[in-house]
Amino acid sequence: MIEFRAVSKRFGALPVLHNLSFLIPSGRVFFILGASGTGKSVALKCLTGLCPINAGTILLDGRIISGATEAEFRVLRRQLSLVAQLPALLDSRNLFENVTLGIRDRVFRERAQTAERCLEAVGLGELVEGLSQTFPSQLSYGQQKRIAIARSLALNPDWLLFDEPTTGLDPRTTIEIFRLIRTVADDHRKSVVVVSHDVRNALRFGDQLAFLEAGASIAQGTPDEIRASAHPLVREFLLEARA
Amino acid sequence: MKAQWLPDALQATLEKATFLRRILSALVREPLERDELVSQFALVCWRSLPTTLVAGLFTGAILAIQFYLQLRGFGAENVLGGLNTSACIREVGPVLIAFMLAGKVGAYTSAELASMRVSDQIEALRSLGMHPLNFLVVPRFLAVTLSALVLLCFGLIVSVLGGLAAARLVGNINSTQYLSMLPRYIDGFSVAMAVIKSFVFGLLMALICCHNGYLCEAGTAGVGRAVRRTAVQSMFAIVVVDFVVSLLARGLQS
Amino acid sequence: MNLHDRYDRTLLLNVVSVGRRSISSLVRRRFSRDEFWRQAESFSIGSLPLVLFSLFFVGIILILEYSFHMKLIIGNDELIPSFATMMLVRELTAIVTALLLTSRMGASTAAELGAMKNSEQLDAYRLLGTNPIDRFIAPRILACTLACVLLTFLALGVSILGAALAATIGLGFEWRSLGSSLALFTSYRDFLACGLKSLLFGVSIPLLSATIGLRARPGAEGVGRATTEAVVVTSLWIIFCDFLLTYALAQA
Repeated sequence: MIEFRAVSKRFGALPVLHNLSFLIPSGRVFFILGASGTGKSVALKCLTGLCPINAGTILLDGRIISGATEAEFRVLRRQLSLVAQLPALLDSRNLFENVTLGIRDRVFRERAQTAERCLEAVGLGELVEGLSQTFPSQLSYGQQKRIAIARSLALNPDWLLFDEPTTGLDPRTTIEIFRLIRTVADDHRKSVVVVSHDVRNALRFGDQLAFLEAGASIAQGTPDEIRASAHPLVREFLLEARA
Repeated sequence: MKAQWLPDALQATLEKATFLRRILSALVREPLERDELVSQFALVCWRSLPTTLVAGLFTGAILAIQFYLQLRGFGAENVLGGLNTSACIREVGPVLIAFMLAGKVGAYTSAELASMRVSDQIEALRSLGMHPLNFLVVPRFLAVTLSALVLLCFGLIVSVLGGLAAARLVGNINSTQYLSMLPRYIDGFSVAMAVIKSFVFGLLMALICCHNGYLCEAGTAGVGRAVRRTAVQSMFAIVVVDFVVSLLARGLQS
Repeated sequence: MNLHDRYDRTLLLNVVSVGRRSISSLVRRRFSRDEFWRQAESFSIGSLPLVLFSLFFVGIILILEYSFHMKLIIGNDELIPSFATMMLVRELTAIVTALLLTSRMGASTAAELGAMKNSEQLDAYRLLGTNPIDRFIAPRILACTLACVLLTFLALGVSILGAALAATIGLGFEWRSLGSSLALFTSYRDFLACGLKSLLFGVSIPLLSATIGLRARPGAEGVGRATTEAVVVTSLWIIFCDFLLTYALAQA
């Protein structure tokens, strides 16, 4: 379980997160929604220690992690794996090296098997054959995003965090990615947090949703609870989702 | 704007010193990325060796001709081999190699690291629980520092060859006579000076290009700015360090 | 004449092509005066601090090295300033200035032209009836050549000053006799040689850098590679040219 307690974050004079408090239960697909600029991505970055927070605490399974050192976060990130919005693959290396970046300390056979498994899991099984000869620049954007997911999967983390996984993708690929996320959560028993502004697919694929506005949480609940919400901003989002 | 120059230079030096501390700390505490180091070292040598050899060859020749004209004035042409090689070892060799490193490897490395920073690859490495400084910077830093010494050896050999050829061409001095002067005019102190200079130059080139690339500003303009900073800072560093080491050497020798 | 489809050929052909068209542009005065003044100012003033700073120390270091070697070879150091000045005028100032300028002016020229080519600005100018050679390249060549010659002669002053200071303060030479001492072995022919070298280097830097910049492969990586290539190729060419000139002048 992840808990944010009154977390505040500012970039210089600009406040991004303001007294943000919410709970993310384990073993579910949890969506963090909201308009652009409301601090959703920053919340994920603070969670994994990529950004330091200014006030408040973040807890993982009851343990405070927000003040950890970079070295401690390095260990934590193997259980809390963030898949960023841009695939950011290393373009000078082939796909095999990219996918197995986090597991270089294992023997070759284990790395190869893990790579194959993860590629199958993200629906790119056909690339396994020429994995060491293919480079990121030869892939489409959607394929690169899947490789980035496979890269994080290879670490076998407890938590997978997705920052805008479908932004910039066509509707069909969007559904495929959300289905993939759902499969990863169910079949591989991972806890998943997804930051997105796709309310419609969040209602369809998520177990729980939270809405952020002006750096604070304004609503949280299951899809049904959200649909029944009386909060004006939430109703606005729901209206747009239907449209 | 002129007054701003000195405090900016001091700040840049301080930032580099802090970065060096981070690199050394990672070197000591974290496991060494051996594969990365080997491949980076091979890349640096592959890129710099041909240009260093060509530059060294012709530079040795040019200086031989100039020294010959000067020595001829009072009949001491026969010591040309000693004089030319000594000057090349003590001054020209290390500076030329530093210049080549800065121009080829320095620019490329800072551009490469800056591109990775700007396209979020470095943050992606952090998200995977890796240590980007240890994975990317330390191998490149070590590769450039160590390759400076390798390039020095090769560069000096070809500069002797170049001087030899030029001596034969211009002054009809044969190879044996040219080379026989070497042991007389080159002492351990000069060699030590050359090695120390090359090592320090290599270290500075490595530090400058890695720092500017790794900690570049955001946006695509950040890459260009990183490369330009590397070029300018490298030139200044070469001049200042060469002066300081030469001064110290003179102080120690007298 | 399409600037694009010719840039797969060898560098030499491209350099000759660009050179020929630039000469024509300069001789027929079709080049952009504004661009020339802008580049001349940027090149000279921009590179001035680096060149003067570096060559001041070159003068000092040269005196130190001559001091070491003179003692070793002939055991007497009276002629140190004379030999040092001779070396500075005949050789070092021109080539060190040129190499410094290559890494500054050469790099920026290649980068600018490469970026212009990749972003199709050059095509746009041609569509508007402006010849890129007249507008961008010929002015740069003229500006860079003049800047190089100017900076080399300024550098001469600074490096000799540095040598003079090192000789008097460091080695205890007399100020009064220093003037004649410095000029002892250096004749007007040596200054001509320096000028000739700086002229040749000054033409080479922008010509080679511009051509290599125009050959840049697409993308930011292509521009980066072109910039590095420009600096390296131009530096090597300058060293090679210097060898040829030094050898030729030695025979004279």
